[in-house]
Amino acid sequence: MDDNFIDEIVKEAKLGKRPAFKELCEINLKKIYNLAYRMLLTPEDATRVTSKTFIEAWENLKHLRSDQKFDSWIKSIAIHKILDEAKIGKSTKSSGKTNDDKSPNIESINTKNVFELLIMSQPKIDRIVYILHDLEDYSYRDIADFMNGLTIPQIKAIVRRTRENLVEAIKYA
Amino acid sequence: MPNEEQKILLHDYFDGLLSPEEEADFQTLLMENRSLAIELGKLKDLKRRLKNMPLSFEPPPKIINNITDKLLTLESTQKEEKSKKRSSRKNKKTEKKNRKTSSEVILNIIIIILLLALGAGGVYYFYFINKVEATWRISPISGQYKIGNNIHPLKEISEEQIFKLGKNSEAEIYINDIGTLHLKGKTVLKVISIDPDHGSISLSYGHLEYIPKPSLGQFQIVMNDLLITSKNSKFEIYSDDLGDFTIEILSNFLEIKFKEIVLRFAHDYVVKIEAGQVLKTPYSIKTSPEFIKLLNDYDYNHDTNMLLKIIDTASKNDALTLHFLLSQVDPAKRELIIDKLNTIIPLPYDVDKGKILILDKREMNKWWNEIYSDIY
Repeated sequence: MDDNFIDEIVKEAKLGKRPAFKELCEINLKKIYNLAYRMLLTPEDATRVTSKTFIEAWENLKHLRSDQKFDSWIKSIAIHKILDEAKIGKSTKSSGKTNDDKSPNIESINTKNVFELLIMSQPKIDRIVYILHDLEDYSYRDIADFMNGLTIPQIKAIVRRTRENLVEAIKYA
Repeated sequence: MPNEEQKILLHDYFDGLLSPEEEADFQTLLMENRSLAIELGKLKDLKRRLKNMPLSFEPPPKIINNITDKLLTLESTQKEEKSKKRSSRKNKKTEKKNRKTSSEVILNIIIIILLLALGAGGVYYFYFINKVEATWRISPISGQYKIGNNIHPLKEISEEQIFKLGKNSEAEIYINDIGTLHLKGKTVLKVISIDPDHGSISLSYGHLEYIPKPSLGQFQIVMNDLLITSKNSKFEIYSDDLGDFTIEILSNFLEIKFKEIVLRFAHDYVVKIEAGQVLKTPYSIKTSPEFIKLLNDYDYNHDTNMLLKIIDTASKNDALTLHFLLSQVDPAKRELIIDKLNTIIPLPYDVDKGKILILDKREMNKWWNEIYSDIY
């Protein structure tokens, strides 16, 4: 979508015009929902986090700087909300663990994409870190800031391990 | 096979984290080490698959409306708070002014007021006592409440007035001849009717429990497109941050009118309403967590396989959930539900299955009554 067009809608929304903000929601809805779904694994959690994200975006729209892109900005709000929902951040800091959960139950996930299913079957922290780095293109430094407790070497090791797991799993998919 | 050190280098190279010299060295290594080059190819393939991955999950269609509704609510709350602040500033100014008035004038006014009050009290006692009985009386338990913008709360509430209960506060509203509303925590409601036989409120958000008196009077709550009616049913209703409501029916049954359809929900059932307007499939508090999860999933994607699982795992506790689902699915699936429900609570002899298939209101009610009397 044309950046100038988006900038115009953002300007309108910052003036408090709800229809403009609704348009921004519609443009970004699927991306944010899919990000939340892939990380949290249930439609209920994804819906809740998506709603919270857009509501927080509306309340803080005045803080969006002119040099920031709306989609990157709202994505970072969503990531913080997702990590809150997944209870990641403080817990990783105190425990120092990088994988404090078991493999999730993916039977209820409704996707025909086998590769997506393989990603979603990774343990919680591995899955979230891998998606942030390899799919959403956040740097190791950015992820360390988000995860608030994992060091860069730990994050690199998680990405490495997840890539190796996925390479192995693809063979049998 | 590459060793651990080579693997780390491989991933750093893949991520573009090596310095130009390290990169050149690693490229030389790649030419010499075939297995390392194969591993690099696998990583590139992985990245390609990842970047080609479609956005396969469809958000629920109602989500945008829920968000915009919530924004409207937030906006009106903010406006209300601003107006409260303005009115509080105004009141403070008036209070200061009043303090300057001379004590002599105040004394005279007090004497006049006392005389008037004595006279009015007598008239009130003998002639208007019956009208007082027809109002809704408030009994504060803890914390604060307001009626409209009144800073000093009244003890009675009448039609068209807005009642606001503060955070961590508790109060009871006695509704003559009908019942009691027990309010817990931040709650906002507007009284629509104080008719002794037909009380009603509009609920914006909050937490309340309705305890009926054993009488024929009915109590109603209006929420957007929904009309909740309790004739003799005790129930609890509470909302969350997103404006979703949960109703727990604690005795008898509630009627919920939703888009011109009247549905009945029996006690021990939980009904959830998203954003005050989307009715989710009700479930019994006695059912299993797995069954509730299946219903939640089905509410979001209406997947046929999910419905089949619901039908397959439903037990006697879920009979009224199945009865509700009859009106939510197409005729082909309706037959599957009828067959399952028939094994739990058989169709009464005078109920025609064909009419159930077309959701005939009378036949549907007969079967509902049969299920209700069998379970309770």
